Amino acid sequence: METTLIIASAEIRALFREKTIYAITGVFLLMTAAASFISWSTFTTADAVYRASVVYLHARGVVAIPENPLHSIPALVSFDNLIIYVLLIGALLAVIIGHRSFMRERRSGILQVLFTRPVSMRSFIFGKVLGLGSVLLGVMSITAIISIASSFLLPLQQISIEDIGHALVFFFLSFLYMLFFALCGLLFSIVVKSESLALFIPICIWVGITFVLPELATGLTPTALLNPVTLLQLPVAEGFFNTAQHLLSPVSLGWHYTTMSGELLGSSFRTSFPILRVLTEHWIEIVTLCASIFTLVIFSAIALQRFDPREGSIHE
Amino acid sequence: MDKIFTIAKKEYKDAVRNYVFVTFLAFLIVLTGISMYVGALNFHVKVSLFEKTYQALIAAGQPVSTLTRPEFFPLQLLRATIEYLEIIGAILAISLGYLSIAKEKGNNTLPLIFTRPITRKKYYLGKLVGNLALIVSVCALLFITIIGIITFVGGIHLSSLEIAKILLSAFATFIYLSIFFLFAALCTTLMRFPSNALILTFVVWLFFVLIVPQIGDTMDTDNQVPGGFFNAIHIDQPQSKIILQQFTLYETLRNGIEETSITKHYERLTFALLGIKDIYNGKSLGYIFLDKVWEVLWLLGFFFTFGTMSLYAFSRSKVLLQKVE
Repeated sequence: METTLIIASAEIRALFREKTIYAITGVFLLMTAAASFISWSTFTTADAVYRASVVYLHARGVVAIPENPLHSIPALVSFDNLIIYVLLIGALLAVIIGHRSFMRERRSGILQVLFTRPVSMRSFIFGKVLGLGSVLLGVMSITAIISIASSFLLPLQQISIEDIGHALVFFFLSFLYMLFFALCGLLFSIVVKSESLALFIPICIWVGITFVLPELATGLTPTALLNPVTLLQLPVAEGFFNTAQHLLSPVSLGWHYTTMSGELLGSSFRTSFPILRVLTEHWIEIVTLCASIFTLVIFSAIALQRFDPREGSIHE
Repeated sequence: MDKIFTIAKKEYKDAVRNYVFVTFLAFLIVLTGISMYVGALNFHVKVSLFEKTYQALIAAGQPVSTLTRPEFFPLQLLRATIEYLEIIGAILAISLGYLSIAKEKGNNTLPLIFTRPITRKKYYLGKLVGNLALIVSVCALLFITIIGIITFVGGIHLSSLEIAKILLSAFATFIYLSIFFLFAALCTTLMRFPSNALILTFVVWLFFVLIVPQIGDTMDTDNQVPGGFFNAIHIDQPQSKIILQQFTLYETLRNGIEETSITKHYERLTFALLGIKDIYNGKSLGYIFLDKVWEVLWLLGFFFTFGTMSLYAFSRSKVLLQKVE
């Protein structure tokens, strides 16, 4: 256990030393800022448009004017864009840090020396996973704090304690989703000898999970899958897409993430569902994601057992 | 001139021999096939829905004149392919641009190379010619595959106008990918640490490829409420236009932000050429060109600006020859 913690803290220190963590945090803060700004400008304008519409209708003698429809929108809708940013950028950055985590050791040639010490391969891999997990959790926590704090500044956003609960579950889900990709990066950096191929394979998996599987299951084009607005206009599953949805559902992690996040934040149908309802309705998806993470940890441990440190140098 | 071609040949061979590049290209081709297949299935679903609605209306004794039978346009199958090229193609081009400079910069071999009788300008031009030829090959391979799938798998005979439209879309794709190549090469030349250049390029990619093109929809007031904002307050379209006249600055800004995205210009041009946007379906090349001349100018403007800037930067940059630890 002690060795695992030492390796985990070494992993975190390495990320700080390489300044990777600053870059990742910077990108996440940029994403949060972009999402907040887009929501702020849109909501402010939409509110002003409503007031202008009221004046316009009054001038034409209309008395019965409906309530501002923006008031019926869940407060967390301003987080909509974050779902897409995590799906794309978060996952991609996670692949990179997972990949670099083991490649760093391979490049330095330290592995041959390291395993002559009383360090088991199991504690090494668990240390790596713990280190990566802590960093991702830290980055997501900072993003969560800033996002929630900035949402208080948005107009028409009366965020309640319950909303904060929804947001926190969303950020934890995002953390799990990113951890999955970080572990993909880690696994292939152990298994594959070529550094670029080790990065290329998880990127292909990312493309597959983010675009190809949802496209096969819904018929939506890649850009439509990235647009919170078009996601609301999901076509009815018919014929092939109906079958594909059933067949591909167990592995469509990206689609599960988008659906669950949409329900938590209220972007799906512009109504947020209670946390318990989301968790119970999607328990299979949550178990699938956790099981995938667990499987990747086990596979990484097995791959490391078979890894020969003498052949650990980089092959191109 | 000989020196430029020698370097260009080497760049081209290096990439073609790199199995990661070849695998990535194969992956793009597979994605093209999948997206065209899904496009065809989507059309079948539309037809089947039409048939069901038609039969239901007939059975209920309702008029069917309001229904429009979905029409099949083979070039519209390319929609998802174009979108994959916008996102994944740009990553491929960025990787090429980054690697073309970073491989020598990272190894600190550039000072050694410039002890040979070759100017920086010629050396960069060689790299540029080699990589642009590579991007031409990638586009040619992809679009020939597309024509092959439509003709041999779909059994559809393409007219010469349709083939011309596909080829012009291939050319637009070449310009689009080259812009990302040139931008990545420029950043890697100007920044001391290649890895920082790669991060900056990806941030720019993220912003202009993924965020900005969606802004038009996400910032549209009417999209904020299911069923439409104006619909919810019982305001029809002509009335909404009158009200929105007070918000021209916001609307101009929203459109202006979209204009800055090179991806949006590429998409507008190719969607018009391929008839993915219905109003351009069946229109002549002259009509499309005149209507989309602004998009063509944006694409060419970005291409020549980044081309000139990267050439200038490579010829003059002091950072380029600094040792990378």
